[in-house]
Amino acid sequence: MATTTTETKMLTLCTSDKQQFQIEETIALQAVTIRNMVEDECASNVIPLPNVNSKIMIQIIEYLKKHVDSSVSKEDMEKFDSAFVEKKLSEIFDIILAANYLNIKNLLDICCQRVADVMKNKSPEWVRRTFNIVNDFTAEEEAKIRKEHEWAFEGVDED
Amino acid sequence: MILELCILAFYATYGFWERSLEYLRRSKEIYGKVNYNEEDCLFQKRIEEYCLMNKYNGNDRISRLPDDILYSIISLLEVRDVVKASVLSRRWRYICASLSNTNIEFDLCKMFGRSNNCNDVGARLGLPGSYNKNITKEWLILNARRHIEPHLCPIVKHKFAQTVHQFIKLYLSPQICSFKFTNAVNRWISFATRMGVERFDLNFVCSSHIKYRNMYDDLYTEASNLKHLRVYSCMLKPDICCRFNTLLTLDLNYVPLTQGDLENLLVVCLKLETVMVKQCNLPVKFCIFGPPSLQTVVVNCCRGLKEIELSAINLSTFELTDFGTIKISFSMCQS
Repeated sequence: MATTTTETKMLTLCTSDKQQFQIEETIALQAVTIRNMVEDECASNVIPLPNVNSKIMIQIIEYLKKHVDSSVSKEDMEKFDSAFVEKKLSEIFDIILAANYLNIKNLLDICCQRVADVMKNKSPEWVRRTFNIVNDFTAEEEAKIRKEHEWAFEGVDED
Repeated sequence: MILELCILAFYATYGFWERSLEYLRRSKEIYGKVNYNEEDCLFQKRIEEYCLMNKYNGNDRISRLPDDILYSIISLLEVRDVVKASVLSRRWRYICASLSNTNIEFDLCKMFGRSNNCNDVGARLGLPGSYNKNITKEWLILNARRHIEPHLCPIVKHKFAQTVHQFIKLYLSPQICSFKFTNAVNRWISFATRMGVERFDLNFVCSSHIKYRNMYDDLYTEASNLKHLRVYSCMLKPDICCRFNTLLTLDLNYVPLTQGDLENLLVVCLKLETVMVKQCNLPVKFCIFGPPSLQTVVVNCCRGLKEIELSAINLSTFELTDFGTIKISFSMCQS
């Protein structure tokens, strides 16, 4: 954290929709991609992030601001994380892609966990409906896999 | 071994992608120019094109995530959910089949519901490193503890073994599954050794009685990457030609050893650093003639032991826990 005597260094991030975000360097540097850009001095004043839009950037900044704060207890941080991922799946996918691009491992992990939790103990039909996955197996192929692994399809949660 | 597997895995995946690549080439005019130079870009494109080819729903965002991310999502699932995911679509089938860098845990309770009173039954299979990028972390733990209630034992055991078989079949491409097995555990071990595992735990302790199992031939002859071997309740068969030349740690528990068994085994362990012998039935005179790399020897509560002879040039630690009086002789030990 910056001390009171030195001026807090700010970075400007520019998203795909040309919105500019001014945030403290310590917050932004949690994203490995941004850190690399700053260290390599390939970014001057404004850091372009063409793969992230402003809507997602706002949420990511919210996450990073919380996680840079070392005074937050582990318990509170977990609470924050679980509340943070309570979003629509489409938003979670946007955040996953952005976190992957910005290389923010923790954020990527909690979002992947959120997706995995959705799939947990659910029938394949339910998962397909929820994620709009199109079944491209033939009926025979699917029946074959199901027959071989019958045990896995028993006793799933009600849809 | 790993390389072979890696190539096969590649074939499995590429066999699948090839078709879509073929489509892709044919439909180049329709879908515009594709950059064939950059591998990553191409791969991404192939996925996208493949989705288009198969009229994938535009809303199917999850299937369009990069492979790495899908791997990390799947690796968070329990084995039962992984199997279910593999039936979602072809893309998921192949992602599941080439799962990388994760540990899959076969836990009986999680697999067949929690009603069975068998907390301790589980086989853990850690599947090896990424099939396409780095193949460094291959290791596998196979831990089939059998503290099951006796009346549940035969049925549950059978179902459990079946399940693990099928999962292994799902994981591998058909080519690799073509070899034959005589029994369940043998099959798992073959699987593990062929994956080039580095760490292996074999646990055959039964709660009611100690029954020694024979060690498996494949482990001796195929495990050319093995670095850590831990054995519970197993018989060693040191007459078989071993390939333990990469082994660093040997940890024997409840293993009956006769004169010469360990000596024969140590001869082929050229890089061995640590030997642990715990709760074993030992001959009256127990000899350890270690390779130059041997640094640590631990002998713990072994029955039948009266005399130990140790010979290891670079031995630095020797631990002995026993109740009787034991005569120890050192030779060729510097410290």
